[in-house]
Amino acid sequence: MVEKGDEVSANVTGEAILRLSGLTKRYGETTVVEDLSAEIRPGRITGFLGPNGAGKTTTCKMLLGLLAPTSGTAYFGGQSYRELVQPTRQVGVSLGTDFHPGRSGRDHLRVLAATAGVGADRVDEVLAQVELSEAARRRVGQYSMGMRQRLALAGALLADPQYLILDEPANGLDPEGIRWLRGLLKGQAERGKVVLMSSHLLGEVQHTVDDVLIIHRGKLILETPLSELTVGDPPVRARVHPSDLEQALESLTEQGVSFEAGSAALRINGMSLSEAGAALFQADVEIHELTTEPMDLERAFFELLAEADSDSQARV
Amino acid sequence: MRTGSGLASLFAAERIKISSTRLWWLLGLALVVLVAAYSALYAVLVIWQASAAGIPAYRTFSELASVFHGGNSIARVLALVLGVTLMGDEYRHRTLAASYLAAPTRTPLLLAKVASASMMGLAFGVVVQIIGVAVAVPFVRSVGAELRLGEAATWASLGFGVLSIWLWTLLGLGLAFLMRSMALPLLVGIGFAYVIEPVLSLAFLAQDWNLALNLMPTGATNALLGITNEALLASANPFPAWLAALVLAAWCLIPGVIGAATTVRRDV
Repeated sequence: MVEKGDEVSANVTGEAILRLSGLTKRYGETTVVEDLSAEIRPGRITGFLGPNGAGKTTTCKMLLGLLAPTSGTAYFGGQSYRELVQPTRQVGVSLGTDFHPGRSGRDHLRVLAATAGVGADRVDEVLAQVELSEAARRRVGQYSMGMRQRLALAGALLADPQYLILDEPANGLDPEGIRWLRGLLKGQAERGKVVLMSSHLLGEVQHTVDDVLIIHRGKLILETPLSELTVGDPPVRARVHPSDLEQALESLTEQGVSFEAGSAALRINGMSLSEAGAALFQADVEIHELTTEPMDLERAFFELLAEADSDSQARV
Repeated sequence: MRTGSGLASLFAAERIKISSTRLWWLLGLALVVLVAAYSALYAVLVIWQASAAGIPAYRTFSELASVFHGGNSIARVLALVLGVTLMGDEYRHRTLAASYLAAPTRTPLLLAKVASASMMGLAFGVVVQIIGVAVAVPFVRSVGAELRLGEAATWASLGFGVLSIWLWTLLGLGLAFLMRSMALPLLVGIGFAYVIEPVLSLAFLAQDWNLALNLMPTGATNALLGITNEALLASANPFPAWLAALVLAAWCLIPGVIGAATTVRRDV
């Protein structure tokens, strides 16, 4: 196991960066990934987001040398995956949940341990870490989807690698499992690891990732820290005295405010909290609640995708 | 600079893959039962033929060899299945990508599989010959003949038996390197050896094309084992054992090397 101090110093020298440059994959006329460049930094969790079929898995497989890119490169520090010495020691990978169904979870990890150069004690350690100790000697064919996902994650963590490449690691996990995954990945990032996780379900990663890469139809359409990912103002939720509701609706309509009315509350769109407050003050109603709703990444995501689509149509 | 994982660690991983599934002992069990049955069948056949001819049984070496190698024809099918499965399992359960992660240049993984297939193939071969000899003991003793275990020729024959099972294991592995499937290499391997080759051999035999017969995988195996019975579609003028072994090795190498250069290079 690497000591914490060593990893931090590796960050400072800036060596442990996953750098993708112009990655492109074409099958005949079809372009699956087009000119994708990004830097994935240590100490943060990077979400690689996009709808199904956007090219996330293709990209992951290209940077791991499983698919030959049509052009472009991917470097772990200064080396491509194929140039790494003992790659499974340096890069932990979870690529889906395909296992030999007749092999026990523990034996699956023992196979990986042989090439990653770690011992049986470490196998039992990661099994405990992913909470699979009890099922460890059962055949994987009997595992649930969530258990398989945990086993795949255990394999990625086995050698305590500097890089974690996780393709849809939250797939098949229940909400409690997703919270658990979040804690685990945050711990990895805090220890200076490079963590790349893909997902097509934005809600899954909204509270997990620090940076987002959004890919759509093979193209990177956004690369940003999550904190800067905003698309307009978040909606404002307002609750007024029930007898004032009708008056509020009339006044807001008069003022030309965009809103949705529920039975007890209103959602005001396209306004900051103070603007919404001013509009309701103008309506002269008794306000019981006025808050911004959490920025929904899902909503932001679909707005971005719609923008990307209209852009590409405009160009055509 | 050496990249990827070391060959020794890849070989260790392959050994764990084998020992952690039921394949090896299911195939091993089938091997023991079927080889014992086939050997016993040949042992009875030898006595029956000798008594029909009115001569004492087990007085010639070829009678003994037919019992020692009685299980060879079924054992090599199981060896082929074993070889195919060592690679085919990775296709079938889609675990190949994970295996390539430890060996991104891929060739070292293939070498590790050749090593593990060799280990298993040689073990299967030794089991076949032990059973062959063990089954022969009571039959040979019952007619008061000798097992000839003091003769070098006997041990050479037993050694060639082991060699043939090893090579048929590698043939299966080579076919699976070439064809990215579990079923297809099995179908091609068994179909060729048990359907196409006998038909071809009949035609070659009718034409007296001994060279063509000698170049067939089963023909080469028969030559290696010293089986020269025309009823078994064997060549009248077989290759010497060493040349027959080379022919069989070529049958392993051709699909294996082509597969390593093409199929294995492909995206997964």
